[in-house]
Amino acid sequence: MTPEIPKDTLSRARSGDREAFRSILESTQKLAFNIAYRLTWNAADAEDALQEVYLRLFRNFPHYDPEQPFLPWFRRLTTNCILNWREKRRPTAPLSEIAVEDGPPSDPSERLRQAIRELPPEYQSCVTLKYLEDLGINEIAASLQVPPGTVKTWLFRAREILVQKLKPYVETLL
Amino acid sequence: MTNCDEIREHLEACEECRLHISVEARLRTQPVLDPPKGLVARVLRALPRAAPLRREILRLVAAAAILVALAAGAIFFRPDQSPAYVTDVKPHLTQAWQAVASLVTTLNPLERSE
Repeated sequence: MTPEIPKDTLSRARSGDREAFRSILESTQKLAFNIAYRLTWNAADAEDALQEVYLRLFRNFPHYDPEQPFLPWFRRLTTNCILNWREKRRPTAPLSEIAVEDGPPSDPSERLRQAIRELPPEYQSCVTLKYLEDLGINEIAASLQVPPGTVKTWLFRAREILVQKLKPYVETLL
Repeated sequence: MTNCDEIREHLEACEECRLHISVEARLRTQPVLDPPKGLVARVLRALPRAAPLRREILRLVAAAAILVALAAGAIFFRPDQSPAYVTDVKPHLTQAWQAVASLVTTLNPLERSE
């Protein structure tokens, strides 16, 4: 899942080499698509959001500092871009109201997804990076540019919220 | 009684801990998807044609060329110019054109990479 990209490819892509950019796109697409999917829970939306991500990557590449590791910078750009994309397309009614009208989903995995969707955006980013790539606290902190203590707090609170939301369905989860 | 037995015994009695563990397990076992086929091609098609850095260089070259052209126009089309004055200025103009040509040369490797 975690891609490895040669420094030479990064530096060529930074100067506008399209072949190098294509190589980076091919190496990172699985990671980026899964981040997008776990922040949208819809494959078509994930692909739409990815178009924005790579357009922004293409435009912002000259700002990337080649002395810094690429992946934390890329994860940050990807999560921020997808959260912004989602914000622009936010439904007019809050998700919690929609859920009440439609009733809770019967599938336990869908219940978990719905609970994740209702988390604050920063908790969702944290949970996504933690469980998609099994990143450590320091790697998540570097990717989201927040102190490690903040990541620990966000993950702890996110798990607490998920447990409380899923408590009524405990029998189907176990 | 081993540690495992103690944990099992606690979990049998504690619904809260069972729920924490099952949420953690479900988070860890969410499926990892393959990206849709043709995603790379679709993304590449949607990108602007000129690379950002190359666009900046093109702008600089265009600005330099306009400046040189304006300077040349101002010098050659003065109504009171004398032939000697024009002869003095010509080498400087040649230098200016050479500077623009060298900027264009720096652009060439980027063009090849497209």
